[in-house]
Amino acid sequence: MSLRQRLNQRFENWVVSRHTPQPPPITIRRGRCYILPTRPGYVFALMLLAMLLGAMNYSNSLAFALTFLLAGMAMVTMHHTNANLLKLRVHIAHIPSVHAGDPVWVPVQLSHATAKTRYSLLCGLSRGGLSPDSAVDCAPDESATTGFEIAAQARGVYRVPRFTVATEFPLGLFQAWSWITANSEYLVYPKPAAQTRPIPPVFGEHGKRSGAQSGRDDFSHLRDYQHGDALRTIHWKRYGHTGRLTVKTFADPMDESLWLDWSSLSDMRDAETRLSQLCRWVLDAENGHQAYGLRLPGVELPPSRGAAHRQQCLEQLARFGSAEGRT
Amino acid sequence: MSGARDHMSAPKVYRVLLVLLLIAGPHMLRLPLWASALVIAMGIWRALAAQRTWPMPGALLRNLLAGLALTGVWMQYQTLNGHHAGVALLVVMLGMKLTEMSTRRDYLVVIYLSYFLLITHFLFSQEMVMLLLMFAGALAITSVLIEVNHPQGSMPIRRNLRLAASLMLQAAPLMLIFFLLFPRIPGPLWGIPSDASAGLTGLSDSMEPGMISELGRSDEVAFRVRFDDQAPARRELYWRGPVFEYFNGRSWLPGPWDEQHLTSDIEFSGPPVTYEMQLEAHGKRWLLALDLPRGPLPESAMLSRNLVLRHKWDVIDKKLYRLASGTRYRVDNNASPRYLGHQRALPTASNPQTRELALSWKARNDDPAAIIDTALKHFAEQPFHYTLRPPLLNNQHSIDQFLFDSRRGFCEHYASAFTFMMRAAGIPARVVTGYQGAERNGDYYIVRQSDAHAWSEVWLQDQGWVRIDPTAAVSPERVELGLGGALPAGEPVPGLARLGGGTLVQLQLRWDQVNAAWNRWVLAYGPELQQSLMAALGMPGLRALLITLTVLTICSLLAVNLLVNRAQRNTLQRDPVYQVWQRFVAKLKRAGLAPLPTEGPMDLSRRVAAQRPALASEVERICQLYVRLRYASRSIDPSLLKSLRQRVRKFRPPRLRFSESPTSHPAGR
Repeated sequence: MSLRQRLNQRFENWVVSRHTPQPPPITIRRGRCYILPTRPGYVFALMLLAMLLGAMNYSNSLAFALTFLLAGMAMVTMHHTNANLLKLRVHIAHIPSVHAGDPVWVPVQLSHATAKTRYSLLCGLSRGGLSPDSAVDCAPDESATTGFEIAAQARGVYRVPRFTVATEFPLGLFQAWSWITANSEYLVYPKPAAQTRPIPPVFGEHGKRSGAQSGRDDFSHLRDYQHGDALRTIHWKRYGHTGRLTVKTFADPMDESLWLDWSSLSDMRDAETRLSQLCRWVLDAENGHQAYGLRLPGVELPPSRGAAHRQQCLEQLARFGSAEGRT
Repeated sequence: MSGARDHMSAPKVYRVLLVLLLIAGPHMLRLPLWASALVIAMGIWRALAAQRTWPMPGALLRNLLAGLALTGVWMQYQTLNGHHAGVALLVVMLGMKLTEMSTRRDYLVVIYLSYFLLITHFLFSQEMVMLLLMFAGALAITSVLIEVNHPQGSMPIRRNLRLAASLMLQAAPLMLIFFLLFPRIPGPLWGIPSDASAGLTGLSDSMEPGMISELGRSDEVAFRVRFDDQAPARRELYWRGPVFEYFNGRSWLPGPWDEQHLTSDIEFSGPPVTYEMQLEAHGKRWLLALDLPRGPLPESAMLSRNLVLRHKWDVIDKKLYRLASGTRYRVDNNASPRYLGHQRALPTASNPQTRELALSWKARNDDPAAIIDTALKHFAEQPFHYTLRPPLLNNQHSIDQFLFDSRRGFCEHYASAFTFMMRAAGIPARVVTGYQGAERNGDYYIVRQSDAHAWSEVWLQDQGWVRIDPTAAVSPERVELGLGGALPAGEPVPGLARLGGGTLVQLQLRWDQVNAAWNRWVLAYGPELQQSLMAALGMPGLRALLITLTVLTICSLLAVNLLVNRAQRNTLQRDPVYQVWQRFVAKLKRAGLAPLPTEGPMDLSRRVAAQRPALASEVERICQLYVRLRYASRSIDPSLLKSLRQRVRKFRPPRLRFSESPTSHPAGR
């Protein structure tokens, strides 16, 4: 690591130690906007020096004039670059969860309420990793979507790391940037086990169910409405009382409800291997159009199915063991 | 990077190429044909490659081409040093760079080189039009640089140009500040290439027959002069240039005293003539001065033993300097016999007829004054002609040929023959070249190349060096009226040197006034003018200069910052109603009545009424006005806005003391 990089790193650590994570959207304030010359900027300065020496050698007035015009433009462009970033609103909407081993894409929405279009905005994890080719423009009252990728990680709940929003527009001589410390979170589900094993029947659950109740009208319990639930299952009467949409769920005796149980995998010593296997089961059960429930130590999700249910199950698997997972 | 994805789309590549053509175009006239053709071919190839997405050639081919081009430039100029070779190299290399222009870095290299190429134009010309080229060129290159930094999508060209223009406009005050106040140093930092003075016209550092008559056909400006008081009479306007003290049988050459300082004193009589000179570049190491300079000399100049105002380096840019001269003087009265001996030296077998003639005059009367008289009478009485088209003198004894055969010549023939005769008669004599006369134009005088002149100086006991102008003996009008008056109509006198002159001449004289101002204030701006500017502002010295420069730079950058941020205010912040409302809210805050984040104007008014009944009516009225202005209609009613403004201005809620709690004791204690 060169001295320059070390200095940069120290500066970054010092700056970031003053930041507390904020809920998005975050507006880039003057005090959080930093600016430094870029490498082409330093080359430009060298070129100006050469021009100045030439103008001095030949006592050439117009050469002086051009040199000073370009130097003036370099100074002016610093303010333009800075203004191109200020008052920009940075929003992180929803970060799609992934399975362990896949990179996470963090979508970042940029918008602003000022009159001038912001050009060539860059977004990335670190200042060094910004690619000028991925720049976006942001017109007034519109939002531009960009984002960055986080390399694959192990299962768990993560807070979005500090990332950089930057710009070099208009002349590329300076880079203005701001470090964004948001408190958004994302989940990394367990990696589904490559080799599956049959889902073991869980005893006791079938037996509990009363044989008298049968058919589709076999009311089981109430749960919150989720997108995709059939309209006829909504408990309208209850909606009238509480104002919350609730859905009646029915146990279908013809449908074998599966319980995906942590304790059924007691032969696996490693918790992550177990979660990996449970993840595989969740995906398989969902694909097989079967209702399934999930039982983890301290967590129990009653049998159901659908994308929302699957996501809930996967979320519990992702959060397993973390503080949030148990609450 | 062959095969790499191009950083820019095809239309943008065309724009880059177009800008390059604009910048390199004017240089093409100076370049060898093959170089221009090569660069243009490269440009066309690059445009086609962008259109048809051809890959860039491989490194081997590229290096081969670059090597060939480099060799070509070397073969053409035999050097890579010098203005012409340097520019040729820059242009050719820029053309070569087009073959590997695909990444962002490549484009940046091309653009930076274009800026550099733009500045090289000023080595060749600094006319006023070049200022136009400078701004147009900088605008064009900058707009392309903006495109490179905005590779995605296309930015409307008008918006791009407007951005580039506004950057330049905001940089213009900085340019002016730096131009005026950046510390200038006199003289070159390193050597100046030998071809820097190519193409400049002016007096030469040797004198042969025919040289000055060639200059006489050009009406280019040699220098301009502004007298502080009355200008001296025309016949006294002898502008002293190089002096020649050595004759080799054909040419007059400078003697060994060019580099020596004048040690003896000059006795001047009569008041000094003070004036300001604006000398055009002539590429030689002397400054012109009214015969003879006295008083303080320019910093980079000295007076040599032979009374030439020598400059420390070649004058390759316009010079501005002030001088005082005395037209009546006595110098070198006590010159050493050895020095005077040199001023009598002639090659032994040269021009025998002339030598014989001079010796015959001396035999008749050896008083130097009488010999001079006889010689001048000889020119006046014999059929000598003054002409711009003297016949070629190709005889080994050219002065003999002129005096006894052709008898037609320009001033250099007469000065040369006269000086030779004086030396032959044993009188120390030398040739002086320079200019004679001046043409009035407004409040200054123009001296043109056609005013170039040559005369003689002889050394006389008790008088020192005395100027003798043999041309005046042949053609007195040359000194009284100038070239146009001295020569018959058939002579190739340049248009502006003729007497009278029509509207065209008048227009040209007007234009010259503009150019003179440009030269004086822009091109000749250097250390001397900078110092006198600071002295006029009452802040002499380098420190004051640097402090002024820093302060003004910071001020103008602050102004730019304000300007830029004004343009980036929120749409809400630009709303006048909102601004007034913010002022009102600030006043409430100070009074301890800060609005809650969720509170609308009407809620606010109700709460204030409950907490501070004394303010209730005023706050309510302001809130109502605000709501009407804000939400009642799209357009703002100016009279309502005015009354809102007034009310907010007058609104002065008393501050609460800390001991008081607004909720429990609403009316105070």
